[in-house]
Amino acid sequence: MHNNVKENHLISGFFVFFLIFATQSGIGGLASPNFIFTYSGQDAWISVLIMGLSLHIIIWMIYKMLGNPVKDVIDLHKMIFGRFLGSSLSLLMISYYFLSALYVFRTYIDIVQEWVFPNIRTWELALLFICLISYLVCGGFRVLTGLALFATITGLLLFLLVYFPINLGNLSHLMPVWNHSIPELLQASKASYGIFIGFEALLVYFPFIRFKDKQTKWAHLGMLTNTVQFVAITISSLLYYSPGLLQRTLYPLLGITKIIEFDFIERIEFIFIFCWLIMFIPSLCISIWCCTRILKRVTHLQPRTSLVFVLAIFFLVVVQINEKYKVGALGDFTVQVGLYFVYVYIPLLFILYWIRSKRKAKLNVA
Amino acid sequence: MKKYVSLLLVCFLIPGCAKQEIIDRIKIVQSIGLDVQGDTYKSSISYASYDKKKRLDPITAEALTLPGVWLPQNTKSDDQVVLGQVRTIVISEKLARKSISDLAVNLLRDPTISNNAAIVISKPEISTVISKTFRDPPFYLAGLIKQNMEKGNTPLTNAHYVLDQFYGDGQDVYVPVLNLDENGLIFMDGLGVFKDDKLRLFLTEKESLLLKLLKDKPKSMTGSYEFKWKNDEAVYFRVLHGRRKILFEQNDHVTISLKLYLQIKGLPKNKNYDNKSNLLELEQDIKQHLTNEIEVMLKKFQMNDVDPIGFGEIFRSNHRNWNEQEFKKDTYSKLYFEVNPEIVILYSGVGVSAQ
Repeated sequence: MHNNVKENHLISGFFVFFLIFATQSGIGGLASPNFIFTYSGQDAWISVLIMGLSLHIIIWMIYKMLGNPVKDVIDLHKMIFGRFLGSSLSLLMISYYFLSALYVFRTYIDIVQEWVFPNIRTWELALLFICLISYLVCGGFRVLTGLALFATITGLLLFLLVYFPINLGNLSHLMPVWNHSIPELLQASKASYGIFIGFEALLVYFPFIRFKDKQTKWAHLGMLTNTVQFVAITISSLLYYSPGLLQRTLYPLLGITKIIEFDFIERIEFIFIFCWLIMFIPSLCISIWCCTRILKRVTHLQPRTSLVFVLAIFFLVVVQINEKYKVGALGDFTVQVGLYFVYVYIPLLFILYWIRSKRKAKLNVA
Repeated sequence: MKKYVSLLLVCFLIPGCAKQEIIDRIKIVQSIGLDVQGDTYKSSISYASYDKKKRLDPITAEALTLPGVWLPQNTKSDDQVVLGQVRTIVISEKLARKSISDLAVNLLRDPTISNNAAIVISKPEISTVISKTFRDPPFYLAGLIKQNMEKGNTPLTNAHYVLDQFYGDGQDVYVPVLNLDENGLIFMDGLGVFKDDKLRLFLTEKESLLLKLLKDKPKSMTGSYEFKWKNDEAVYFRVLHGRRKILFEQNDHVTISLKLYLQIKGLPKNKNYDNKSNLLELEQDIKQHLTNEIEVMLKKFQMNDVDPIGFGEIFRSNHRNWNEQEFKKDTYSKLYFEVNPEIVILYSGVGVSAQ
């Protein structure tokens, strides 16, 4: 059980900042569920804040579990559950990353179809993007990290657009603050997980990070930046829409961009949707990369071969999801699964790991 | 690697399979007129043309549903009708009196119509107004409305504001009104205020400025106003910018503080306004006049049970146990308004007006 990643494949510790940022802002910001506003109304931003802060604990757990000695989740599974059960669990995790890639991908295609090109067929867009994905994933993990850097820059540039809704907004929409009970806030937090989904790829790419122990702060900083960003976006939605309208708006962020108008471009939302391409591609590619990586670690299948299989299945599944209600159901299901994965499975792993290492320490002492 | 790149390049050809839309082979709608007759919606549209010599006529259609009017519209057009550049949606008084809920739902659900589009009520026939918009294509009507919102007396409103007020609690929709003068020119004729989804009352051009002062952002609190003074002398001034604060002191006592920066243009001829006391007297009188007018207007809103200023929304933000029905039924009609305008005369011209 040792680090089997070659030195020249490693990335610097601070790139984790970009990776966390990019994997997270996949699609959540764009298609953020409006029902967080049904649960906690004007206090929705508190719910998002709670969610973001609680994820710091999960990141801390991941760093504790995988940090010393360095391993990824496959090694961890083997260590806790033994060879056979551990490998089967790792294989199950492929389906999780597959699902989260599917969610990001299909939701984006749905937005493109609904907002810009109603006539374009799902398979046309899917085929185009899959070629792009295969090209990028073939480049390896360091290429994906570079892509994450671009996504972060784009994300921060697009973030400047919140000036417009805040400028047009009405401060009274935020008042009175904290007018909802704790259960309502937590329910909304639960619903807001869709925004944060994606960072758990850290479990798989962890061995690729150089000097893991010293660089914990970058992961936390990435998470914090994202939390601040999503809280700001939520607040700007709240300022811009009256509570009644917000509950009826399906894509609040895109609705906001509909009002922005420059002299040289009148419908910024179309540009905005395609800028988001740069934002969601890294998160999608890293999920797919995780699938091939786990396959390689468990079955020793070459990533190039497995990538072809994974993408072929991916294409077939995406084309199957061709109705509005299926896209919605996919989103709900993924967020549910993700929530259980992050808040039940990872803490469970952590507790088992903790018991296990305690026992080991005892044995060593004896 | 080369193989991959060429494969990638080929893939970029795929979007070519999507439908192309070339700008002079589509009809870009600039204004939509909507009317209702019984159960059917009637519409007429004006569009941009790239051929100056071409004679343009509005295309009219009838349909059962509001989005459905595009279907017959397309049957009458040689090019596909597209809605991405709609700047104005003109609704007839009849439709406004019947219900605008269909329009609101349509605006909410349709991603192609811009949120910057203005919604206006037309007092004359829809088809007359729409055919007038061909006077100075493109976007004559949109320009007219925008100019009045930015520099004139019309409060800022667009599709987003209308939706916001329509679906939001504790506020009612208001939209500008269009009319034709005797020469056949379109002009802005005040506002129409809705109660829920039905048009309830019309406001005059003057009242529309007062509403603008109570509703708009400080930057766009502009407009011009004239009134007759005590000794039958008229005063005309422009509001350059201003500030506003609406506070609920107790449950039923509302204080509205206004600070308005004015440029006086029309002055009474009998006095010299370069000295302090006369200017202060004028300020005092303008203040008195505005207080009265605003109070009368707010009374009118209470009598008609409409809340275009959104006092309900302000009430909601100040009270933890907000109930829209209760506010509408009991509280709103009992609200007492205290209006405190503060007038600052910045400029009064560069010559001496006194005789």
